[in-house]
Amino acid sequence: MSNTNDESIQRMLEEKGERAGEQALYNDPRFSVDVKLYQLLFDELKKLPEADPPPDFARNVTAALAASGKKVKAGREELVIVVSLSVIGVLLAVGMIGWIGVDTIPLASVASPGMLFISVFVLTCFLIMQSLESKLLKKKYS
Amino acid sequence: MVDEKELVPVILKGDLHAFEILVKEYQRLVFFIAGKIVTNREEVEDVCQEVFIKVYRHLGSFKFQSKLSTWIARIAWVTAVNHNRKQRREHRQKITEIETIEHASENPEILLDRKDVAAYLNQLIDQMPEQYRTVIVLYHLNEFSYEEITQITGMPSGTIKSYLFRARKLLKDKLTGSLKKDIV
Repeated sequence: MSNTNDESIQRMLEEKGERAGEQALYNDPRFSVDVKLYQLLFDELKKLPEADPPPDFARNVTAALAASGKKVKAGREELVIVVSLSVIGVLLAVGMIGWIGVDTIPLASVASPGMLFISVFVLTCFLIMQSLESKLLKKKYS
Repeated sequence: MVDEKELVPVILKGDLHAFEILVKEYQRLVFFIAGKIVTNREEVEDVCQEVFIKVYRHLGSFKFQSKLSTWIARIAWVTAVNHNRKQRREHRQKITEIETIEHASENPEILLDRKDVAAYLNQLIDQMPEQYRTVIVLYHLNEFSYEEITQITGMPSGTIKSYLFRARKLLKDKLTGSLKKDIV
């Protein structure tokens, strides 16, 4: 059979507007074997067995997402703590130098007792925020 | 049937329970596409999980310009095709040519009953090249339109029609020799 014939049969079945066939067609002598074969193909393709997902698939996906989200959040928190502590450390060190008044150290000229006060204040705020956040997290996930 | 326009904003706020509803709604679609595209059966579930993680991470870029099912089907198709490519690179597998497809248990003396046709077709589809499998699965099994298949695969409409025609003809030709005469 020519490709043109195949094409016209396929187009005819598509244009019927439904991809399921009509049983009556199989017994209708007006239709050729090729038309019936294509109709059978269209019908049977609709009946192919579906791949059933495992029953707990959706829950597993959300659990994986929650786990990866917690991991990222924990990583971010760790980074924030490390950076914050480093900044506070530097501020404390510079403040101490200014307070002690060691003129020989170059940084002492920009340091002052005020800096020590600021760094202690920032450190206190940081510790309070950390404590509040951990309480909130515990509440959220308990 | 869930209302996408209500569900998506809730998910974007980080509600994983809402996302679980979305997964339940579209998991059959994703398993169907990945199940037919991914050649290694044991990896289908992992690929489907990867698909939904991508859906969750990129949901913010979904602008409702198409149906959510089309958008998810595109992610499923791209992920499955990329997975196959990666596997092929790793195992250096040869791509089966359409003309050389042979049914594993094909025996001209054993003719098919009507009830066996779907199972036989299923096996034939599994052996087809990826692009033929794709169009058959999306058009006939998932009932996407040509326009939607273009959105999912990025293939031009003419190419999709051509692949679909050749895939159906191949299947019909295989059926011709395998059916009992009283079926058609």
